[in-house]
This record gives sequence, structure tokens and C-alpha cells, in this order.
Amino acid sequence: MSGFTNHPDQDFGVRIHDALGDAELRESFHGAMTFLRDRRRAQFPDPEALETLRDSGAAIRDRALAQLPDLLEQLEDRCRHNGIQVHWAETAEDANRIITGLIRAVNGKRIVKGKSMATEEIGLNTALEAAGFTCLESDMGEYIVQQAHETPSHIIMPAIHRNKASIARQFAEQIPDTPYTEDVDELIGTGRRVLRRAFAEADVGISGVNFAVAETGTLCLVENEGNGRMSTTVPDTHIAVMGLEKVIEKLADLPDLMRLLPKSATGQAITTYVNMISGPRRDDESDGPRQVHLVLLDNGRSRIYADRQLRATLRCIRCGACMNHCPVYERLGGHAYGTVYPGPIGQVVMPQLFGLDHAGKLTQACSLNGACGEVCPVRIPLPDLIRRLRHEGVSTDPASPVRGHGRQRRFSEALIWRVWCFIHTRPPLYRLVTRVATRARHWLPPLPRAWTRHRAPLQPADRSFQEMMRHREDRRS
Amino acid sequence: MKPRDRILSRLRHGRAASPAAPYPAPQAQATADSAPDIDAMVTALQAAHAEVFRMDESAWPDHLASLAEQRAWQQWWVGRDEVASTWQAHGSAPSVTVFEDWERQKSTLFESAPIGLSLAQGGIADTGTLIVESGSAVPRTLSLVPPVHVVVVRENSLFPDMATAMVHYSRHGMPTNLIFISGPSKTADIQQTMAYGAHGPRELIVYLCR
Ligand code: SF4
Repeated sequence: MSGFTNHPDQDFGVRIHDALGDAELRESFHGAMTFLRDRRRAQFPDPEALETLRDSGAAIRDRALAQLPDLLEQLEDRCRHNGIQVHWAETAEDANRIITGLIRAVNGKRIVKGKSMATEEIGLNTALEAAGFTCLESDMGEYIVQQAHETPSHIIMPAIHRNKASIARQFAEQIPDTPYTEDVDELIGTGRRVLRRAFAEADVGISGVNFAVAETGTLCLVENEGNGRMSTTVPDTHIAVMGLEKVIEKLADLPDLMRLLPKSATGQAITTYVNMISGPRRDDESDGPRQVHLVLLDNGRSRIYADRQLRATLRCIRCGACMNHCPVYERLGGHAYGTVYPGPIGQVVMPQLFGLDHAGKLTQACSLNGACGEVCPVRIPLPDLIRRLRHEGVSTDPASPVRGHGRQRRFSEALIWRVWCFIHTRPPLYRLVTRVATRARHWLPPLPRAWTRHRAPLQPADRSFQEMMRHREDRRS
Repeated sequence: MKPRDRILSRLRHGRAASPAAPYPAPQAQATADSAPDIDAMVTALQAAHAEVFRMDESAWPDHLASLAEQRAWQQWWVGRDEVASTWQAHGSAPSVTVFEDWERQKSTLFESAPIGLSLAQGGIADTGTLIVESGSAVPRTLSLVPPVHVVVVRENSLFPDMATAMVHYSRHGMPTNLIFISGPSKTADIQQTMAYGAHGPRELIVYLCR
């Protein structure tokens, strides 16, 4: 139930039902989301300063997007100059093929990976396995999840759905000479011991990229554990994978983004480590990778880019604040979405990547309460984009830019809205219908069970709102 | 056409077909031209679970020697920076290994190097951050692999904030590897419980020197 799929719409309802019925899961997420929200709030004590900072974040990302093709060329040029080899991948398959080829070329045997959502997006681990390689996840959360053959349930905290007792059981069962303990320090110590050996022996390290600076050809990677440093420093070959939207113009753009990202994500003023990689080891340096590769991933991003409104999707800095503040995500958890990116940003990205025919239903798992849009550090208008995608889902306009548009259209629903529209645009008819509905309210057919299973049945009032208002006015005069 | 050119042409097409004015930038905030706030640096580092000592630069070797005695720290790993030669000259440590040959010393570093000692080239005061540049004098892994990292940083090498640090690197160019370190390695991946020493050092000891 926790695998990623290219057809998240399939069985979405079943997954929602299961998730809502899982008390332990709901408790985990409620606790974790409350924790992350409180931490974030504590980092932004001054609302006015926060709004200015968000303006700046949005402007920096938007300015980069406005020059996207030029900045990518500049980045490629600067990286080449620095000795970083740049590869372009149009699709997930292309990216996997490029990475597998790079590993073969250096005769790589032992591969470690730092946390990277882009590699999750392209399903790199599965592709590597198919090619005969095993790739060990080295972020503690990712390691736990990989060992249990699960997928991450949150983009920042991958094992957020698990409690320490279940992790303790897993370690005791799967790692030799490991006694059962729920002591978190000891559990982390176990992970450290196993992964240290892997780092020391690894010949290829794979990582993601948080920001790539076109000005200097620099790859920035933020993290707390040090596994990112290990993966990008110890093995002889480092392969970085990034969505092509992550480029920014210059070093001077970093400070504000760095003031937004860790605070929005985990409520930290800064992460323990900020890695800025501008090339492989030089001859006079004693350690560091001999080869650094950068794989630039399109995978549908250039299509998203072509629509003026949807383009804002690409500002995302993957902080996870939108899901931390989403009441639906908090109750469902990440797995129910069945997607690499869950929560509001997932509801916007996934339908655009997989098409509305395969992922359009995701946009329905939203109450349009607006919380995600209010916290997004780069001001992505997530609720507007969700509404737009709902519209594209039922739109019959052949010029719609989103793949699979119109495929969420149902005849019955369209008919209901037609009738609704007909009535509401004709005042006398509207008055008649409401009059009948209120007077005959005891004889109306019951609502379908899908509605009444978890909710009280709805019944019209004994008088319509307009009647009540008229009555009030009569009394006053 | 190559994938690269196809991607770029799709982007250029997309931009031309639906141009949009970028989100307006807020009025530029004044960057700090004030002196770095050393107290803020100490507070931030301590909040991040680092130990901080402030003293004159000549005083740290004696102080570190007594700290080492208390904690029974014996085996030191150093690079070839000034801090390394000062520490070797001080002569109090029973064993000081110079880490210079990665291929030969790598496995020993991972298996049995308890303490790394190095100089940080700079720092960022307001976030309590140490700046470590790669270069010929100090291996990158010295500040990463040993479970304890002792670092010396000079107050006059600090930037007030990240913005000023970035101005500096934009002007002088980036080293191949630039690391900002703001505490010991940590993780909250198991039930949001903070644990130190995830993959990097468990302890970070900072000598902030005048
Ligand atoms: S959409 Fe905004 S809030 Fe959500 S992950 Fe991206 S940047 Fe963060």
C-alpha cells in the first residue's frame, strides 16, 4: 500500500479509507505535524518581516524562472569550467540510463545515496536494481524506509509515519547483532555504525541538489546528518541529480532562500551543514571525489513552464511546509497519495507530470482552506493552482495545456451543474424551487450513502434564506 | 537534435508563448555593514549543541591540553594548517597523526580516528556558522569523519551574516568545496527525537579566538 505509482488515482479512495481508519498512523502524523508547525512558527516571530522575506523568496525564484533557459546554459558553462560534467535528461528513463551508464563507466560496485527527491521521482533505486546494482540510502529516515521496503511518506522527514517501537523491532530483526532498544540515541548509533562502513567502501555517491548557482557553477545541498557530505566527499565519483528548475542566478540570491528553507521545513535557523560543491578535487587537495557529474532533469518541467499560471509550480523549494499545514495531509499521511510528492505540492505537481487522467483525483483531496498558500515561502498560489487543475480536469477545451484534461469529466456531474446553473440564473424559478424544497423537505429522497456514512444527513430549513430576510425586513418596517 | 537542445528550445518556446512579468522584488533590505555579533555567534552555536570557548589565540593550546586531559583524549588527527603545527609544537598530545594520504589512511580514519582538529577559515556570526574551505592544507573529511571535531576560528575572520559572506565569495571565487557547519551532526528522523552524531561528529568544540 505504500508504493509509488504512476496512476495515483487508482484506489485513491481505498487508500484514503484505510489511512483514516489507522489510529496509530493518525497519531504519528498529528504529533509530527504539530511539532513541525510549532517549530516553524517560533522561527518567524515577526509577521511583517516574514511577509517581506516571502516576497523576496518569490521574486528570486521567479526571476530565475524568467531566465530559465539562459541560466541553465550559464550553469552548464560554469560547471564545465569547474570540471563538473553536465548531462541532460528529458525523461525519468533517460536520467536513469545516464546514471547507470556513469556507474558502469567507473566500474562502480557500491553505491550510497544522500536524500534526494529527484531520484525518488525518477525511481532510480528500482532502475539501479534492474541493472544489477544496489544503492544504499544513507539519510537515517530513508535508510529505515528502504530497509522496510517502503517509500517516504514526507519529503523532509521520510520515516515520519513510523514510531520508535516499530523501528526498534525492524533494526533488531534485520541488522545482525542488534538487540531490541527503543533508545533513540542507540538506534541512531546502530544506523551510524552500518552506514559508516558503507560510506568507507562506497565508490559512487549520489545526491540531490537544493539550489544550483549559475554565476559560479555551484551545487548547494542542505542537510543535518552529514550523510550528504559523506556521499559527496568520500566516494571517488559523485553524481548529483536535480530538477532543472532549481537553478538560481547568483550567490547573492542564496541568503534569503537559506533564511526561508530550513525555517519553513524544520523550524531551524540554518541546517547543520550547507554543502557548496563547485568541482571535483583539485590536484593539490587530499580528498574529495575525482569526478563530479550533474544530471539535469526535465521530466515534464518544460511543459509546466509553458503555462504562465502553472509556471509558479516550478518556484517550489521543496520545504514541505505546505503539507505540514494541510489538514488533509495531516489526517491521511503521505502514503495515501501514492505519489513521490504528497500533500498540496504533490496535488499540483503530480497531475501535471502524470496527466489528469492518472492523477486528477488527487486535486479533490483538498478543502481549499488556503493554509498551504499562506505558508509557502515562495508564495506559490497552491489553492489557485489546485482549482485550476480541477477545472482542467473537466475542461473540454482542446487547447488545455495539461495532459489528460477533461478526463475527470462525468456526465452525471456535468448534468447536475447544468441544472443548477439553469435554476440559479432564473430568479422566479429559483424562488419556486427553494419554496418547494423547504416545504417538502420531509419528503425529499435521502442523500447517497457516500455522504451520510460519515456525516449527518442534510435537510433544507423550513424557509429559504431569502424568505427569512424578507420576513425580518417586514418586521422592522 | 540532442536532448539538451530539445529541452532548451522547449523552454524558450514556452517562455515566448506565455511571457509573464516576474514577481516584484521587495525593497532591498540593508545588508549588515555592522561588525559581526560575537555574542550571537556563541549563543547560536551553544543552542545547536556545540561547546564554545573564547580566548586569546595564544591561549587555546593550553586550554585544549587540559580539556584533553580531563576527557582522556589521546589520539589526534590534523591536517597541515597552522592549528596543526601549533598543536604539534605544543607537544602535550600523546599522539598526533597528520592526515595527508587519503588512499593509505582512509580506512584508519574511518575506523580509529577519534578526534579531528582544524582551523575554520571563517564564520557567520548571526547563525553561529563555521566556514570550512577545501584546500591543500586541510582534508575535507577531517571535519566530518572523527566523532569529535575541535575547530579554531578567529574573530576577525567572521562575517556578520550570510549575505556578506556571499558577497565575499562572489568577488573572490568559490573553492571546490565550501562547507558551512552550524553544530554537531544530528537527526530527528526517529519520532522527532533529536539525536546527535548521526553521520558526522557527535561533538563540536569551538575555540573562538581574538
Ligand atoms: S510548494 Fe511551497 S510550501 Fe510546498 S514544498 Fe514547495 S516551497 Fe514548500
